[in-house]
Amino acid sequence: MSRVRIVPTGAAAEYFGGSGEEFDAEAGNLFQLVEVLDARAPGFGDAAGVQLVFAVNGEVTEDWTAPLPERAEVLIVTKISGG
Amino acid sequence: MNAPEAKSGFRHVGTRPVRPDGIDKVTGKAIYSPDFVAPGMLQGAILRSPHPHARIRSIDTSKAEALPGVKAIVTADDFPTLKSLMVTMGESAGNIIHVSRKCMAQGKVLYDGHAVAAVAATSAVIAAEALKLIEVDYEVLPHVIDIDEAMQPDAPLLHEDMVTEGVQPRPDKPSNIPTYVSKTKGDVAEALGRAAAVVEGRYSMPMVHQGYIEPHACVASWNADGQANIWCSTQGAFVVRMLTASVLGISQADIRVTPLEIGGGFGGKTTVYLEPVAMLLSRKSGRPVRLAMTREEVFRASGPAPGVQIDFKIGATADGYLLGADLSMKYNVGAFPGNGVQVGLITALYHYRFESFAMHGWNVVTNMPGIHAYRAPCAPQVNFAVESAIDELAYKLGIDPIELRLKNAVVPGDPGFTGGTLGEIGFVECLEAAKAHPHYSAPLGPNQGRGVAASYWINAGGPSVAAVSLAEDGSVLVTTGSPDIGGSRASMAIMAAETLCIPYEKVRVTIADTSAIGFSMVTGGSRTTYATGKAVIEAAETIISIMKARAAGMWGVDVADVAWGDGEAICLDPAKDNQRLPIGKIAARMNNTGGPISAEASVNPHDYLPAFGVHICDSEVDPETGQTTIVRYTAIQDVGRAIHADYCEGQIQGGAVQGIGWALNEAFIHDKAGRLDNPGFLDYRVPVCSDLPMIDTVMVEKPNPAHPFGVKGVGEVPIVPPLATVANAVSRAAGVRIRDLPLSPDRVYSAIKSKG
Repeated sequence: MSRVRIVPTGAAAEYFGGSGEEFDAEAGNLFQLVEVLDARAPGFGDAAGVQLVFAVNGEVTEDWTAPLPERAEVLIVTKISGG
Repeated sequence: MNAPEAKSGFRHVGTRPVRPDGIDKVTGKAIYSPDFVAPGMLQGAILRSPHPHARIRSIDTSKAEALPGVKAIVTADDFPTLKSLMVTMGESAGNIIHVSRKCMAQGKVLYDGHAVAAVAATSAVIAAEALKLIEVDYEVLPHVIDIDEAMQPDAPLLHEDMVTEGVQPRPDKPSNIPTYVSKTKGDVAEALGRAAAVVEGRYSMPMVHQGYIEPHACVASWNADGQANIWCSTQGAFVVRMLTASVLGISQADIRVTPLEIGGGFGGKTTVYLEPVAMLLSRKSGRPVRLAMTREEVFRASGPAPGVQIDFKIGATADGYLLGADLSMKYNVGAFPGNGVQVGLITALYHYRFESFAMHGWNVVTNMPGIHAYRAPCAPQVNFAVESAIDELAYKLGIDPIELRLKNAVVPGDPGFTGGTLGEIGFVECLEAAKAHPHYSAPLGPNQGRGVAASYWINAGGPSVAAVSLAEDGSVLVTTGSPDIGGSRASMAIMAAETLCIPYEKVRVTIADTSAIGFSMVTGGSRTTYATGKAVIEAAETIISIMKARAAGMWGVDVADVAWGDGEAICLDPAKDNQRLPIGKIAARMNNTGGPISAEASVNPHDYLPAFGVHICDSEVDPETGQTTIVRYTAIQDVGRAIHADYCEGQIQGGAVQGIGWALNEAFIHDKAGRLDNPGFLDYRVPVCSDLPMIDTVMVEKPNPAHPFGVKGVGEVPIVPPLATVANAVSRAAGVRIRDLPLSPDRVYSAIKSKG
């Protein structure tokens, strides 16, 4: 279990009060983190992976089974499209 | 062109072999979606709203149904009621209710051209006649097209339940502003206060359309047992499957989507407009149904790129170091909430090292078609403002515009928008190449001006599946789920041939339907050569491993004693005297050594790198008419490594030409009643060959270390800089700064006259 810093932006911020304020959470990997965040903001789990993408310490991370480093920054951003 | 140009260390990568799909396309044999015919097929047609905003009181289809030859009619009543649900659409997400409403208006029409009913008949003439017999009772509502007007508190509301996301406290009233976003760094007011020079201005551009030559079209056949086939023009057969299934509430496995050849997409063919409608018509009629948009329908009813209004203020030190940027962006996203300004936020400033910035952005809905992706979606608009202002700043400071950019350009190790460090990017190399290019120092003629601009695009990765198999004679079949929109058959063949060390002509590539291969994300985002390419390389490497094992069995040696090179297994066991088994001999015996040789690879890579481009333009402005001629144009781009050099250059040229069109001519024009006034190529003027000089290209190659051959995405960044490049050139030629696009003759002429 790692303590990580959550940085919600854009549509992600809406789930946590809308201000984009950062906060801490504890989870071993992104699957666990999504569960933790969904408990805090019901509906977040459905949006994660569909509408939102995670960048762990600046790297976009699609493998949700990878262990989260202690004190990692988890930036949550809206997925955007290419042409 | 087409002359081999092998690079050191590679057999095929970087060469220019003949494209495998070329002959079919130039001889008219290739089957595009409007060409496809199914046995017993009916012809469909869609009735569209003449009003930009109206409530549908009722639709009476009885007279149309009575017309001989009419086999089915569909309205919103035939669509299932959906719950609000965000679904993945390519790389981004969208609400399935909005997808459904783009196919058929439900309750209200939201733009001129919104579909209200559809007919399937035994001929196109009967279908068109039937549309005239459908009676729609509209309650016409006030409409809004302009961004500022749509943001007013008393503006006509498109969606009565839409409140702005991203604002605290959450608004208690609905508005036409679905999204507010912001991002700040440092104290921008303080930084601008220290600046030796400040440039400030409002920039705008209208909605523009992708202008693909082939219209949206499909044939759908939905059987009584629930199974269906769709043949269509798309950048992603899997997204058509998912969206159609979701809109209709059926299982994805019941739909088999076959992507036909595509006559242009540029992002606009990563969604559905017709397929669910054709499916419903097919189910009702019991026959396959074709729907194909006319050119007018394409303009009125498919997703364009957003128009914008941008306020920008930027300041720098006397020696040209950027101090601060204050950016307010309003994106006109059309009738439905879309990812407009979110991308603006990511792509506006991150190619420079700003000490501080403040970015604020709003998406605004209006009574125009809902936006959809268009090549580097939403990046060119904001880049136009930023790179125009950078140019003005350089002029004001008396610094060469490329030199100013070099002073501030991001380099490997600088932070990107996610906070992570940028990898092996080639922005500085592009700027240096531009500075050294003969174009940049060539003399200019009378009434001519030179402009330069730079940009980046984030690029993308994501899931892809590829299969590689051997035919009995040792030739190789590659199958992917990525529609070929820009030469991916050739690039996949090159990468497979390079990996297997065999001739390019021995590899043939097929684009599979959704039931023949596993999921691949859309061809878009500049991801396919990178991500699907990785899958092809991985599958080819597995084929090599299998062939080495088969050869070891044939020789009776340990597999560790077998190497692969020159398309042959090489025996390293000294007792075997360095024997070799060519791929053809291994393939001929594959059923005696374990059976067919095939491999599939499934990947989801995200170690892509952004692409950077720098463009130079010389324009000539006629002071008597305001007419602009592009005299010379050079596009420089970091391509990572070019797999098929012709296609890379073609992507760069195509992107540049589309961007020049945005800059000079293209605009959605609406009349006072809110109807699109120019839904055709005569009045919506895209550049043609005779309008432009040859677009010169320079490929800077700084390979992506995370890709076996160094690939970076190529197709999108070239549309980003042309807007500002041309605007900067025209401003120099005309002697007056013009901040609104397009730079049509009347606008340029007025600007020249207004300066006195």
